[in-house]
Amino acid sequence: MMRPWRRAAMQEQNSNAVLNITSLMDVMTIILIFLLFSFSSQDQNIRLAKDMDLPRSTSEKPFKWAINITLTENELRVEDLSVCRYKNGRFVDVRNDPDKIVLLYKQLLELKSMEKYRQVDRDAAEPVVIFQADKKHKFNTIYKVMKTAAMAGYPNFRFAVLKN
Amino acid sequence: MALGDRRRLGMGAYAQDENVNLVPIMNLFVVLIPFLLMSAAFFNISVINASVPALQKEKTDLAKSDVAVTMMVRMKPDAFTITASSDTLPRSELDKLRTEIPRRGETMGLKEFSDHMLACKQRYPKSETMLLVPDAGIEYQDVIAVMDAGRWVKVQQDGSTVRYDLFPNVVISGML
Repeated sequence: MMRPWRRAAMQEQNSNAVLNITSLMDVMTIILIFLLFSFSSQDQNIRLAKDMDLPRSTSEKPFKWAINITLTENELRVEDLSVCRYKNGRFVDVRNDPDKIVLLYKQLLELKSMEKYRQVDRDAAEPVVIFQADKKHKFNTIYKVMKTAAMAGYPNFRFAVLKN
Repeated sequence: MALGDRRRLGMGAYAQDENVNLVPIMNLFVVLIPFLLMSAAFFNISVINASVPALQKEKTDLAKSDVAVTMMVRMKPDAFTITASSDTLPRSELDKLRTEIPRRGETMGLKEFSDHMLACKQRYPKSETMLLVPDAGIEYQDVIAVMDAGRWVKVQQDGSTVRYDLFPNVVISGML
């Protein structure tokens, strides 16, 4: 006759081990709810550069896609294309023009000549530029980019900001 | 089989039935979570419309209506200088809107700036344009803060706080 403790041990060996996933389910449910709340239907084509901190604002106007000009701490970009470096408070440009950034001007003129970019914002009468810039930049830097864009035919801007 | 054993078996069977199989739900969660993680917005981006002065035929940034003014805000490191311009209003009227607000205190003068802009807007409700002229050394974040303060303000009306639009059209210019 088998001893009772041995019988119990054999029964334990035969039975399938059941993993208790209730606590895991709780975690998953919380994550799911959090993600559902932060799910955004807005146009997320915008890609924030790592070395850029957008200014904060109370604006609630939704982000809409347009031609992207990005001014990070070290670089000026149009869309994903690097236009020129920004070093020691100056743009590293082909020519030192006090009125405009020549490389940006040429790049924007090229874009303007392309029909698909001219039609990006069908709501606006004139083409619009999304301008993303680091909040620590001085106004003369910001204004030089804006002035160049205006000269190239883009006088209207949407400043990308982080909602407060 | 003893009665006690049977009862134990029956309870065991009952307890086994009570366990809901959560594995399919887990599978669903495992699929949903990466998808939501990819589309989740951990930052919320909005935009502020602005423009730079442009030379155009038949278009001007100055207010044409006799009851509208264009507010010009000169933003210096230590103060805001606010003036108004209009094609039709007399100089004496425009001078009443002129003021200088020091940029100091907790809000860097933004509260006083907003209050003055509100007073101007209430005086000429059809006005919508603010010409902002910051100094070269002003930080971009401060420019955005002034644009916010000049575009709208929260006011108390009938016991509730409402948003009151001031000068939503912002034109940014630099000093020559």
